[in-house]
Amino acid sequence: MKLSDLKIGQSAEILSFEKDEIKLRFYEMGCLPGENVKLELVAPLGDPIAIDIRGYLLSLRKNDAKHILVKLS
Amino acid sequence: MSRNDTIRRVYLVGNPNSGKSTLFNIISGIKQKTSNVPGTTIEIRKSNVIKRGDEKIQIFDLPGLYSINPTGEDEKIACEPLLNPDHPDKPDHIILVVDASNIRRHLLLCTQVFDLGFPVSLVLNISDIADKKGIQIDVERLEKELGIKVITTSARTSKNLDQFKELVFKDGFRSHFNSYTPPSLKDFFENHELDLNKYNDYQALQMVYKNTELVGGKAHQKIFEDQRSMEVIIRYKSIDKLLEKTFRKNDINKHISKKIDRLVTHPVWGYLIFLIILLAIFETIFKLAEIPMDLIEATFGSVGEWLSSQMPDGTFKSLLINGVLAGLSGVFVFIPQIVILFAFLAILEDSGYMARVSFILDKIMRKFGMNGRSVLPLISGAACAIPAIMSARTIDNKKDRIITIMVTPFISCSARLPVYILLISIIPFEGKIFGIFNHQGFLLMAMYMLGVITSLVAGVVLSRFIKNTDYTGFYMELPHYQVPRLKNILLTCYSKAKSFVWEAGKIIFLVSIILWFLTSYGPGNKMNEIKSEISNKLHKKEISREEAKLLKAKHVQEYSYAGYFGKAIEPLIEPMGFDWRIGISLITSFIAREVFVGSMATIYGAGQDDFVNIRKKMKEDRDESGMRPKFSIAICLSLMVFYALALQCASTIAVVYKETRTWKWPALQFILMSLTAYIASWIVFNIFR
Repeated sequence: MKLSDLKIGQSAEILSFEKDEIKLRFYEMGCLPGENVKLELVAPLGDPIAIDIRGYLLSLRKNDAKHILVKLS
Repeated sequence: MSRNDTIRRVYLVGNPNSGKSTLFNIISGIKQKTSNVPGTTIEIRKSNVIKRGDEKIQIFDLPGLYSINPTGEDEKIACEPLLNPDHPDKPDHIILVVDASNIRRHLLLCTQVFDLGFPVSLVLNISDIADKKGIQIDVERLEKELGIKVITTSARTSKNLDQFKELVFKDGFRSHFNSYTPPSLKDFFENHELDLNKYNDYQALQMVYKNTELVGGKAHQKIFEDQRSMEVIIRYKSIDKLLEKTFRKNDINKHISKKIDRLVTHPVWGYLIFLIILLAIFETIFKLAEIPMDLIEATFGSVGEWLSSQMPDGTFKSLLINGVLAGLSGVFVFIPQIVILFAFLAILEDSGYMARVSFILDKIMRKFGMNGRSVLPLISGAACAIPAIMSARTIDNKKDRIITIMVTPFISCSARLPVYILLISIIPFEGKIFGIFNHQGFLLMAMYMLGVITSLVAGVVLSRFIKNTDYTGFYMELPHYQVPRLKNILLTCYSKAKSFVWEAGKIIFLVSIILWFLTSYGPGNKMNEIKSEISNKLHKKEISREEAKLLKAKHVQEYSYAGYFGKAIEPLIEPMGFDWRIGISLITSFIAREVFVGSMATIYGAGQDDFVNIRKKMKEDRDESGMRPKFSIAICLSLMVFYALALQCASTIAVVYKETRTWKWPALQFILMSLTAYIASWIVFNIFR
């Protein structure tokens, strides 16, 4: 499934990135394959979303989130 | 070791939200200057030289970076002191500032800086929140593993600030922590123009990344990008190993942050809270700023009057009072609004709330080519575009920021209000609009709506044409909530006011002097002839002293250079229904839109502040036929639309130049807004004539 499909409170493990252009930036922010993330917040209009990565909140647009593949954990 | 004459350059380097700017403020106080890297919007803050005994240091605050891989052109330049081993301001000691509660991610940049070979120290900042989150870091072990000095501070609770003040004078150490082994490129690029021999392996790698075109161009781009991604993965692995030995988290109390987040991003409460905050800010800039603004104008006014009574008449007196004093007053009058807006902005930013505003408004504003952070500048634009445009600094995406700056002046500011009120009061219209609305209220609202709609449409249009030079994705940290530090807020206000006076103020002052000259002097002898004619009449008691004064002002304006310009542009502005009198007022009100009222008053021979009289005279003026009022519905509407949309404000141009560091944007903005205003006014005039 995609990161953008998660529901609030769900945790998932990052598997891979479908889009090369965003990979490096998200790696730098700590979103590495194998990392566990949890969907914390969804903006009122459904976009952007915010995920918890090792105790900090990262907000990203759905447009990017749909290129990040995850597996529910 | 003697370092008598050398000033050691100490750099603060860290991620955004590491609190390093607060630490910088603590060390530097008001003795700091902000310098823009030419051609960019990158700000590097420097302290003055700080002395202690024989030692002299200067502290540099680099913009926050997540890594040394730049995300855009501007960031590339920001990284330059780190990446260019021959940089003139090469750091002698880098103090890495990290958020102790989010140490893993912050360490990524640190390990990169280690490998560049700089002498470094590490500050674990924001330790108060780390404590609350139950985070324990073994500082001694960390020092041993990294081979550098490590201290723990909290800028907010002032914990261990003495240690930090001590640290800036100490030497850094080169870290022996090995997190990544760069490929050895020296042999590979031996025959290239790039001389890599003077660099270490990691520096050499960065030089190769930076000079792609020298080593095979675009073909290598993909390989380099993959190499960089690999590097990040490897570094995180080493960081995780390091943290296993030095970091422990007891999952105790959940931080209050989560509860606040649920509230401020709630579909109803979230927007309501933001709306209330906006209203409070808006009300304060509008109302509270009025008191000091009036005081500033009154002070300059009475200084002018005093000087006027003390000095003999002449050019010098006129220059001093109507040029210099008026110009200074025109600069200082903006300060209350700037200070108030930035105080609020600093509170919103430092508390962590601003990132949430961006979060809940991102989707809406994206449709208009901007982002969530554009909302505050746009709303503040209704008070005044000057502080509003300055506040667009908080938008980190360059494209979004430029668009916000470009469209903010479309929002009707408080200086347009006197123009609208004058014109609405003379518009020859009776009855109700759509049968229910009082026409005055309706027109005023329509003007404000016109501004808002035009700015949003302009955002959509501009977003098609302005290239995005930064990374196109959008991600942002939502930092923890913190209580802002008063000292930090005051420093922000002080430095914003100072930079406005020195950068934009110079231009505004210059424009006032030029306008003073253009409105006080005219070509040939015409002006003097008329002046002496009036003096003669006064002498013969044909007219009163008061009449003579009004008549003189009227003729000076008409036969000045500005007057001739006004007449010269008549053919150009005629399609909008304007004559030379309006032309003159368009030119003189370039210094500030509300000057339109005073200028029209002078032309119609009414006193400057005599609003009733000027209204009466403009209302009674007839067109050529002598039958209909000159200020017809068509002309009044066309003129209002022109003022709503045109960039009739020298100060805005000056501040856009200050903020974008190039004349390109203010020039483009002036042309586009003038064109929009011209076309819109022409259409309105032709519909209603």
